[in-house]
Amino acid sequence: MKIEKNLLDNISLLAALKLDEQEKDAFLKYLKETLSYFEKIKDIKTDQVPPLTTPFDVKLRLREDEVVDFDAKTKLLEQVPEKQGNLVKVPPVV
Amino acid sequence: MNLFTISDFTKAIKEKKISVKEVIDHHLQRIEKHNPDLQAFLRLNEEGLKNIANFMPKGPLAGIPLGIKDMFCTKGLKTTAASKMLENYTPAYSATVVERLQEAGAFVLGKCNNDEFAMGSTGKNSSFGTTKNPWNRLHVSGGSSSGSASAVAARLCPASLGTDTGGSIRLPAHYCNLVGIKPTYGRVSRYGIIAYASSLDQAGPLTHTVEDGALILDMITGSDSKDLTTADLPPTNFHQQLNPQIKGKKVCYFNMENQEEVDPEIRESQKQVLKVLKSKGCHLIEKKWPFLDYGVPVYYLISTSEASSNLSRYDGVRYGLRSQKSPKSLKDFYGFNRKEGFGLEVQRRILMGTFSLSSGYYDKYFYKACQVRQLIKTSFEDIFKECDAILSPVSSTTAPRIKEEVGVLKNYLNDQFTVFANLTGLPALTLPVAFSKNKLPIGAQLIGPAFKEQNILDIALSLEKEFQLYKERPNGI
Repeated sequence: MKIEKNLLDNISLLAALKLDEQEKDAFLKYLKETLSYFEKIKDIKTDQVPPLTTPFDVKLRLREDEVVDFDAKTKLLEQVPEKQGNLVKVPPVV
Repeated sequence: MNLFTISDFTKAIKEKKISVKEVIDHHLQRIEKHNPDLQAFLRLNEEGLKNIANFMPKGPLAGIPLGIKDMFCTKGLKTTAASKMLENYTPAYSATVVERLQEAGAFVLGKCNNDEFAMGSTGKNSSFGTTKNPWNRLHVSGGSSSGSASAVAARLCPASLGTDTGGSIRLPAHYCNLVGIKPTYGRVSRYGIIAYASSLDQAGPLTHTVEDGALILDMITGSDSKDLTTADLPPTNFHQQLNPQIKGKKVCYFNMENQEEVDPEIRESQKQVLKVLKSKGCHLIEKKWPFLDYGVPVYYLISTSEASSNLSRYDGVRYGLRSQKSPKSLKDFYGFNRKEGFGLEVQRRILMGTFSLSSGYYDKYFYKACQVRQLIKTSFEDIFKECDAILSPVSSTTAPRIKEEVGVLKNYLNDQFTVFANLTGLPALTLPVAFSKNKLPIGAQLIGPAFKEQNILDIALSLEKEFQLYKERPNGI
């Protein structure tokens, strides 16, 4: 498979990673190298095979819909990088 | 003091030969001496240590100090996933497994180093320094639970907690002469564990002995209303039921003669294990490893895809690293924060996962990998129709040198034997079985049928009684 640089532009945008041109080249090399190895999975016949997304079927359990107090609101707010009072502050971006 | 296992310490505490405070002080002294060089612990539980006078623990782990991988949230104690992204993150709650260990009387001694966001097999991807292997400090202790393994091997704590997404408990246990257990998927709650790949992640212990491993496991298993992927099962009772009599057990193994990438000393150790199993009356069945060459591609396509989704939450808004650069757009804002917060390997995996989930490639990569995963799971289920456990190497080599640079793909292949237990959800463990000529540990892997950890624990205990390698001590430790 051919992976071109414009593909990496798109991928880095989707992944929300701000990369410079040099970094994009390095990641492109990585993707090409690893994918050329990973592509061997196409040799395996999988027609009609259902995909496995979790090892065991989850038996959904119901519980009472009760309010549980969480007493560490201030602790959570302490994690905010920049704030004003109890509000999260972000830089102007428009 | 020649005490070093959990059972050593609990016995001594019970017989009042040593106090809980003395046990903790003993380990603190060892940390002070060895940790600056080993870098196994990232930080100690200073707040807990301040209140140690009031610590009157009860329970099966009363007074046992534990190392906790920095992937587990610990209330009031910084939890970073060894990433700059979370360098200043202090959780407001604890992971269920941490709470359960504390309820069992254990003391959280500190947080252990790991590969950033548990992505790696050497420990070298930590943003806060590479952990060294106590058996030879020029070598890695393995990853991603690098600090958890190094700390126990160096006797800085009698046991630790790790996470295993593709081998991250079992590989460092193999490199460090330890028992490392990855339970069946769903056995142990993932609530409060920083997510890497949610369909593969499981938590488990790293210990010196099988007995200690079974004890810790019993304390953390059981369903959790906060994690609906936990199986609806009560806590286990493996420790009490341990039985080294394994006569008549059927053990499958894979012929490693043609696996040239596997170090001859590791192949030899497998032969020795088979010999012991035979002498103990086990039936040995040779099999071909199903899809051996496909495990790594399937694992990396799935784990990176899940990671790209799980790690999308780190945007630098409510917590985590916030870049000082001035963004011109919202995309720039996220992009700067994430670029500065994540290390190289994490960025690689996010990009790989984003690619394999993206429009036009999803069917060919992610979906296809999930289909092959189904085939792999069915093949292992078929093998377990004939046997009680599978024996295999943990990895192809002993612990590599820290300075050795082998390339990304070769690093990924460190996981070639371990990823299968994660892809299938099956329980697996590592136990020490040999030392190489240059005195580096060699482990063996046992894989069991779903929810039958007892099978592999019993076999491991039987082998441990034969090899007794846990008694070995690294030079200078």
